[in-house]
Amino acid sequence: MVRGKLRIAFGELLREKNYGGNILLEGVALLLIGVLIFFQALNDYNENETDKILKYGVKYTGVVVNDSCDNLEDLERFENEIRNIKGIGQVGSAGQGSFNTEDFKDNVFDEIYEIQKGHRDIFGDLQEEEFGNVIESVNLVEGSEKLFNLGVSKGYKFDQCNSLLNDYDEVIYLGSKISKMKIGTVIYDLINGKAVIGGYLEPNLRMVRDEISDEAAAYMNMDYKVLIVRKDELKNRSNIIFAINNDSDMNTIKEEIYQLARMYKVDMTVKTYRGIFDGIASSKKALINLLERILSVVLVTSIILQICMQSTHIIENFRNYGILYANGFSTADQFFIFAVQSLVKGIIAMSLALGAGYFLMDVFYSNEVYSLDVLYDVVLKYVLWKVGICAVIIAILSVLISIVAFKGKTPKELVQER
Amino acid sequence: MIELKNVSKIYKNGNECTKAADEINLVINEGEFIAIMGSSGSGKSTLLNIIGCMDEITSGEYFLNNIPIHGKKMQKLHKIRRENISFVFQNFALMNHYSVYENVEIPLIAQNIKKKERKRIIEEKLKLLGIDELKGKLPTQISGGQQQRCAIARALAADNNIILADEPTGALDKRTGLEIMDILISINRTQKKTVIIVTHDEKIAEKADRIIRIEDGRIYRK
Repeated sequence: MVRGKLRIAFGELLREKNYGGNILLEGVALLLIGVLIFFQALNDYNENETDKILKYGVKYTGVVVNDSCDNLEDLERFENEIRNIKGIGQVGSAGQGSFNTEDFKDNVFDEIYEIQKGHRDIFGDLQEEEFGNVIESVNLVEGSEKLFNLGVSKGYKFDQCNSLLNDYDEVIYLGSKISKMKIGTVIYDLINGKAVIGGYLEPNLRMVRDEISDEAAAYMNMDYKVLIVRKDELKNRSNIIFAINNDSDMNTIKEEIYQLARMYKVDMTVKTYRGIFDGIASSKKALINLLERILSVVLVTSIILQICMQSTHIIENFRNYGILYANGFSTADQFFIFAVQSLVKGIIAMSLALGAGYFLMDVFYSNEVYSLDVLYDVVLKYVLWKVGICAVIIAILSVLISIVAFKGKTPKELVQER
Repeated sequence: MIELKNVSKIYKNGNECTKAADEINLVINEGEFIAIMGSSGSGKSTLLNIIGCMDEITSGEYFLNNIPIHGKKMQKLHKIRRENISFVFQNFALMNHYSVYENVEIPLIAQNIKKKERKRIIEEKLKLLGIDELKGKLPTQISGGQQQRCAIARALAADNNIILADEPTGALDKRTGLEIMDILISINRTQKKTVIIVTHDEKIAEKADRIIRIEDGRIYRK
């Protein structure tokens, strides 16, 4: 019986007069819902993914940005004092960097350069022409790995690389897609000294970008990058990342850092990751409010039209449903047929909406802003299921309309409908 | 067996009440060929719809093969219809976008009969009614008589013991109407099915075993 009912459901659906228009309308409505959710989700996504990267989380991690201080002695005292503030859990530094393959003896990184070349999300071919074969890296001060959830799939774990730094100036970890060099290989960085290949990073490992804005993803994928751990002192870095214990108050600690900065006459800006994301959210609020208003009107209109079209379809087909009644189909069978039709329409509409959405992303975003895999990730984790719920709600509304339409009508009345 | 005891049907339209069936008492035995006659608005179609579980009764008792039908909700009567009753309507009641084959298939889908068996039954009934060559045609592509044969084939395919026909020849010319009547009589005689037709045509009614005359919702001659 179920197969028979499904056959009737699909048969009726294909023969429905405004079938194409109905689905197109629902597809447009779902696309608009998806677009609205997408814009809201992008910031949430960035924040949640960043939260996963930071060991202490977005709420308990901050950044001290060196605005203009060059006095190394003042910086050194300042850095030491930060570590002593009550409530500070960890202090370190991490930043995006790059190096020329010629900085290393024997051109050991040439092969890695060729691999990385095909996967740059920010740097273009300009690098090769003007600066030579530049490899993108992330540079950590020794101990800074305690601020991030970093994993090593093979080689020396991060707590082991501290002892390696007794013998070497740098420990280099390779991304999972560029793991071409043997663990323990010693190479020479002509600028920084003796380096050793410490291991390979876990696949899909991520690190936070130096600059977080609404213009790009907040993180970088490390599969094709190099991570270098050095003994450099914090005072040589443009930013200091700090994390506080979860029983401490971030605002109090921020204030203490500013006091220290004033005391040591260093020009610093203290930000928290929480504050950065809140700032992005509020800067986009005006746009999102405007979008919400426009899309709400369009959405409500689409849903009303959808309901009208469904009602028209039911009224036009009363006779057919009466014939089914007369031949042994029950009310529940009828509603099953409606439900299947509504769900099928919803699935097709959703597919159309997703297809159009992906096309829009492809057109309006480029790898310089957000890579497509990030956008797809946002859609999969935040948008898809919410749009799916909307499609189900529209399907349920359609079935409810049919329940109301059929209420009180006997099979006799239905068959006599023209 | 069909048994109605003091059955009434009242339609309410705002403050107005219309008694379409008034204290009807009726027994129809298995295998009978019954004609229900009456003028327009006399309540004959109402009676047929009550017997066919297509409409609820307001009061009284209705037993079908000793099963009490009165008191059952409309939503529960589909099973009774599916297993006992088939319909033939004046306007043929075919799904216009289904072929002849697919129309005959409908009650078999409701009865959950497997595809192979459905095919066998449909082809058998189409051949019996002489329309096997039309199985791929749509109702709009065949004549009225052929459409009614399709409707009868659908009724027979369900293999129910009771066939209710509401003015089955009403939309047909005289000659075709008589052909259809002959088919219904043949079904009654050879397959022992209970056939109840509603008609206002005396010549058609004379072919039945028994004529029930109804006027103003009341039976006045059986």
